[in-house]
Amino acid sequence: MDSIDRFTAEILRNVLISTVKEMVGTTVRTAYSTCFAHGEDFTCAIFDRDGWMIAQDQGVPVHAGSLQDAVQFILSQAGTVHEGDVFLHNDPFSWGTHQADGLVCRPIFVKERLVGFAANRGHWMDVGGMAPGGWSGTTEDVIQEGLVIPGLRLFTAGQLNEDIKDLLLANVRMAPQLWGDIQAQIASNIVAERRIAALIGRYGIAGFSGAVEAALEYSRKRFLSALEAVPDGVGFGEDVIEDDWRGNGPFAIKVRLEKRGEVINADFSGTHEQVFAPINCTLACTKAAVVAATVAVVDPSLPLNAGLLERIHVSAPKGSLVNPRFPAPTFGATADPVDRVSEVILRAFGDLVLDRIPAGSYATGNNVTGGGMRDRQPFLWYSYQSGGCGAIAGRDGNAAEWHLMANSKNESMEVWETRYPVEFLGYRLIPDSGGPGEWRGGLGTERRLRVVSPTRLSGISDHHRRGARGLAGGGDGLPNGFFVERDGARHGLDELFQLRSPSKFSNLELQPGDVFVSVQGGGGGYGDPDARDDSAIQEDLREGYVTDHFDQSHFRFGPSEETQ
Amino acid sequence: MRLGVDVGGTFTDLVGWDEERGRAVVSKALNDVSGTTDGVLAAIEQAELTASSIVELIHGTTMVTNLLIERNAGEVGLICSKGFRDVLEIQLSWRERTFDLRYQKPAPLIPRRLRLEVAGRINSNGDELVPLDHEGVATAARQLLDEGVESIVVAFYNAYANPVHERTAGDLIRSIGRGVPVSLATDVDPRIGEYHRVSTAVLNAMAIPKMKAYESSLDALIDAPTYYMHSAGGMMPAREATERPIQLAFSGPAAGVLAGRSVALSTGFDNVITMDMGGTSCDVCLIWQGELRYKDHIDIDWGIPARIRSLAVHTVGAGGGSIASRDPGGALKVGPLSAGAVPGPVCYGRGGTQPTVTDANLVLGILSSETGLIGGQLELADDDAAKALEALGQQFGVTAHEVALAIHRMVNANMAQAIREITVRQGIDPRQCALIAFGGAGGQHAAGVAEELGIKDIVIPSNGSVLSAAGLLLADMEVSSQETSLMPAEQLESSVTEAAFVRITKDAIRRMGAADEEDLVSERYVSMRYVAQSHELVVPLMEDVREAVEVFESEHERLFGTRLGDPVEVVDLFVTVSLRARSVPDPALLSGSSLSRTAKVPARFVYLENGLVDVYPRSEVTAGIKGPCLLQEDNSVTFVPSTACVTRTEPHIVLKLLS
Repeated sequence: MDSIDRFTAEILRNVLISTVKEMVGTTVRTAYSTCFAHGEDFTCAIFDRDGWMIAQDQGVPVHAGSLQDAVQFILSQAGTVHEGDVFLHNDPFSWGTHQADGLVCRPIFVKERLVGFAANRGHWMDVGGMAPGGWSGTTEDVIQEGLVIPGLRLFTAGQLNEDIKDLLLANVRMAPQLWGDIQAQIASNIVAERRIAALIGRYGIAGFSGAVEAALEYSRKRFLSALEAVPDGVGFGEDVIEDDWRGNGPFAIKVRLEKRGEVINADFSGTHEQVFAPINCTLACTKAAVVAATVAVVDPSLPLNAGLLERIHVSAPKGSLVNPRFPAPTFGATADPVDRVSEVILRAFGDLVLDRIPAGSYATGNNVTGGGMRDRQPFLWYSYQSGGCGAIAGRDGNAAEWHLMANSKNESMEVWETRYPVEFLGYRLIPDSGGPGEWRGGLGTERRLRVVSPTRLSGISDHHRRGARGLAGGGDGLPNGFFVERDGARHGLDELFQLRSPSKFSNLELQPGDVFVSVQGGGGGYGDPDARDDSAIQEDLREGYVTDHFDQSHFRFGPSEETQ
Repeated sequence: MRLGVDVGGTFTDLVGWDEERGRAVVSKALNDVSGTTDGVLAAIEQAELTASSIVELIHGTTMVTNLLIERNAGEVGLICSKGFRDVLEIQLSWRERTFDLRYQKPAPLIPRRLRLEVAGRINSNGDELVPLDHEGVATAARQLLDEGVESIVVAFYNAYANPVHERTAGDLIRSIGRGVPVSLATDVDPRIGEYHRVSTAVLNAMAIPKMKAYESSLDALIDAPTYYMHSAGGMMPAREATERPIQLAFSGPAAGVLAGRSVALSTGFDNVITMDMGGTSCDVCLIWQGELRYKDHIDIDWGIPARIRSLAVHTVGAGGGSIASRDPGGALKVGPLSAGAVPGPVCYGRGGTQPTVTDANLVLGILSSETGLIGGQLELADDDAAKALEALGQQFGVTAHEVALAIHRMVNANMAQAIREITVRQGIDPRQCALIAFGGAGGQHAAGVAEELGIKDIVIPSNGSVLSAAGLLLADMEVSSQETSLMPAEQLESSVTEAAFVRITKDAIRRMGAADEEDLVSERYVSMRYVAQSHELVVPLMEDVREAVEVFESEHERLFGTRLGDPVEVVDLFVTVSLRARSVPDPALLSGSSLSRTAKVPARFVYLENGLVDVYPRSEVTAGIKGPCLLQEDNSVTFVPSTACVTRTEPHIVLKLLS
C-alpha cells in the first residue's frame, strides 16, 4: 500500500463491497426464474487474479466459504485465461455444492490486463436427472441427479461455444428459463468488471491492489479481535440424518471443534461413511456450514473473504457423509445434510459459549418439486419453506424464518397460481409447534396447496421423525412433515405411497384435487419451561401461539391435537 | 397567498407566494409536538400572515412516515380469507442480517388475535370458487369492534382478480357500523401479490386516524383548501390524503426533488442529481432529461413494504450529525448512526461526546465558531470538537486534523456511492449530470462529492435551507390509479384493455375531486416484462403498442445490459391524471427574500486547502470568483475548493470544477 493512504484504501474497500451488492441487484432484475428473482437463491463474489476471494455478498449461506475453492479449481484447469471467457461449473466433487448450483465465472480484464474474477453461483431450476427440478429423494448415484459440469468455457474470448450451449440446453427441462438465468449471471459478472475498471481508471492498479489488501486485512483483523472473546477449548456436536429412502439409518454426523488461539478447527472423524442416497454433504457444503456457523457465533456482520477463511480449518474424512467420493449422490447436500452439519457445529460452540447459541431450528428447506404437463406445456414448481427457529438466551425463536444456512424471500402465492396449476388453501403458523422453554421456540408453518393438474412430486427433507432440539433444558419443536389430503382425510406420504421414508421420495403421482401439505416444524426451546415469564405465557395464549390444550411443562415430544 | 409548508423532523419551513405582487415570504419555526399543527401555526405567525390572506395551503409532512416507523398509529383489525391470516406475520421470511443468531424479525403490523378469517374464495381468473360467508364477516366485524379497533381492513386472497368479495364484505361491515373506518385492500393497492397488498393496506389504515385528526384540526384553522404532497411528487386533495395517507410516506423528500427540477430548469441543466443533506441523512435523486423517475414500492421496515408510487429517492445515513468511530476491524466508520439535534455534534455543546461530520468540518475550517450556524443562533465550540477528534485520531495514530479530513472524505464517499446506486447502477454516467446540493450540510460537501464522481457542474440554490417548502409550490395536482391485468403485450390494443383504462382513469378523476375534466391530462403506463420474468419495468404506453415494447426493451438493455427480443407481457396498467397550467413561481424569485443577511467575515484557515481562504457573504458572491473560498449564508456554508470557480450567481450559484 505504497501509493494510497489507509483511508483511501478503506473507501475503496467499500466500493468493492458495493460492487458485489450491485451484482446481486443485476441478477435479481434480469432473472427469469422466481428462484433467482424472488427467492434470491444465488451468491455473488469477486476475486483477485489468483482466485482469492476479496468480497462476497452475504447471499446464500450454503455458498459461503467454498466459492473461492471452486474458482481456484476452475483456474487450475483453465490454462490461459482470455478476456471475455465465461466458465461454467457445478461438479459436486470439485467444490460444487450440488449440481443445481451453477457457477458462472468470468475474468475481469482492465486494459487488457487480468486483474481478477467475478463469480455468481445460483440455483438453476433444472439440470436434468430423474426428477424435474432435481430434488429426487431416491437416487443411487450422482449421474441420476443430472448433468455434471466439471468447469468449462461457455464463452471463449467473448465467443459463445454453441456446442456447449446446445449440449447443456438439450439436457435440461425448461431450457429457455435456464438460458435466461445464465444470462443474468453473466450480466452480473460484467457489471463487476465495469465497476473494477472504473475504480482502476481513477485510482490506478495500485489503488485497486491497496483496496484488495485493505479488504483482506480488515476481515482478518476483525475476525481475530472478535475471536478473542471465545475461550480456547474443545466442543463436541453430534446429530443424525434420520434415514435414507430405503429406510436405513440413522446416520451420525460428529464433530470435534477446537478453538485455539487464532484458528478454528473442525474435525469430523467418526461421522458415518457415505451413503448411496442423496443425503451426502459435499465438501463445499461442509465447509460452508463450518464457516457460516463460525461467523454467526464470532461476529455475524463480518465481511467474508480470504482474510478470515484461512483461519477456519475443516478436516472431513474422505468417503464419509461429509466428504463423499464419486459417484455418491449429493443433490440433497445444500438442504438437510448441510443444515445438520451447521447445527452440530453450533452445538459444539455451545460447549464454549452457551449464551451465544440458539436451540435447534426446523433445519430443512422441505425442498419439494412438482412437475408435469398442462396444455401440452411442461410446468415445474419448486417449493422451499421457512419454519420455526430456535430460541436463544433472552428471547423467543423467530416464527416462519429461515434457519442459519438459508435465507430467501417468500414468493407470492397469487403469482404462483397464475404460473402453475395450483391453488393455495392456506398458509399459517402452527400453534403449539414451538419447543417449550424459558424462551419458546419459534412457531413452524403449514402450507396447503391443491394441485389442479396431475403432478409428479419429488422431495428431500429430514427432521420428520424428531423435531428441532431444545437447549439448556428447553423442549423440542414439532417435527417437519409432508402430507396429502385426499378424499377428505390427511395421510402421511409414507402411508399413502407406501414409502420407507416420510421425507425422501421421487415422482409420486398426485391427482387433481389432491392437497399437498408441507409442514415446517417449530424451533427448539431454550431453558427450563417452568422459568417462563407469566406475562409471556399469557401473551402466547391470547395470540393463540399456544393453546389451552398444550401443557408447557410436560410437553417434550409430539404435538397436541390442535396442530394436526 | 399560496403557501408551501414543509413539516420536517425538527423544523417547519414555510414559503409563501403572492402572485399579484410577485412577492415571496419565507419563515422557519421549531416544531413543539410531532403530529400537531403547532409548527404550522408558528411558521404562519412568524411570516406575519393572516389566515384570511391564504388562498391555498400545500403541505409536505413527515408525520405519516414517523408514525408508521414508530408504530405510533391506530389499532387496526384485519378480516381476511380463510387460511391466510398469518400471511401478515410470516412476512417475507427474509432476515436482514444473514448470520445473526439473535436476529429478531419485525413484529406483525396487527397482532394475531385481531386478524380474523372468513370463508370465500376467488380463483386467479376472478371466478368464484367458494361463496363469501356473510354471516362470518358480520361475526368477525363485531368481534373486532368489541376489541376496540380504530379501523378495519378487508383483504382477501386473489381479490386483485376480482374484488367482489371485498366490496360485499366492506358494505356489510359498514352497515354494522359504529363509525369505524373500513378500507378494502384493493382500494389501496389493487395489484397482484397477497403480502404486499395487505401490508400496504394495513399501513394505510394505521395512518388514517391520526391523519384525519390532523386534517380536521388544520381545517378548523385555515379556510383555504389544503393539498398534500404525495410520495410521487404530485399534490392531492385533503380528502384523498385522509383516505389513503400511505401515499404521504415519502412526502418530505419528494418536495425537495421538485424544487431541484425547477432549479435545474432555471439554470439550464437537463440532467441533474439532487443531493439534500441534512442532519441525519442525505436524500439523492436523479432527474434525467428533465424527467422524474419513480419506484413502485418503499419499505417501512425490513420486510414491511408499502406498494405506493414514489419518486426514486435514495437515502443514505450521511448527514452533519453522522457519528465517526473506529469499528472492530480497525476501519473508520462514519454513520449511519447520527447524533441528531440532541445531543448533537460535540461542538453544539449540548452533551454530544462522539465526533461527527459537523465537528470534523469545524476543525477543518469549513465551519467556523465565529459565524456559528443558523445565522449565529447556534454557537459552535472549537475546542470540544478538536478534543473529541484528537481522541479518535489517537486510535488510528493520526492527528485530529488528519482524522477530520478522513471523516470528511469518508462521508463524501458514502454519498458518492449513494449517487452511483441511482446512476451507474441504472446505466447512467453521473459525469453527464449536474449536482444540485442543498439542505443544511449540502454545500459543505457538494464539491467533494462531485470530484469523487467526476461531476463538473454544481448548483447551490438560493434559499437552499427552505428549498423543499418552495418545491411544494411547484407541484401539479396528480392522482394515480392502477390494476393488475396479465396479458401478452399485443392484447394491449383490445377493447377489454381500453375499458380497463377508462375504468381506472375514472377512478383517478374521482379521487382527485376535479371539477372540470377538460383541464385534465391523463397518461397511461404499463408494467412489462419478458414472458415468465419475475420483475417488471414501468413504461409509458404509446399509441402504437410496438413503441412501448421498444421502450421496454431499450430500458431493459440500459438497466441490465441485455436486450432479449423475447415475447413481452403486461402485468399492471397505470393511469396518472394531472391538472397543470398553474402559476408556477421559479424558486429563483424567492432569492429576493433571502435569509442571507450575513456580514463580511474574515478569511480563515481551511485545512483541506492548507491555507487561508476568503469567505464571501452570499450577497457579495460574483461570477469569476475562484476557489479556494467559502460562500456564507445564514443557514449554510458552501466550500469551493481550489479546483473550482463560481461561474454564475443568478438565479442560483453555479460552480464549475476545473480538474
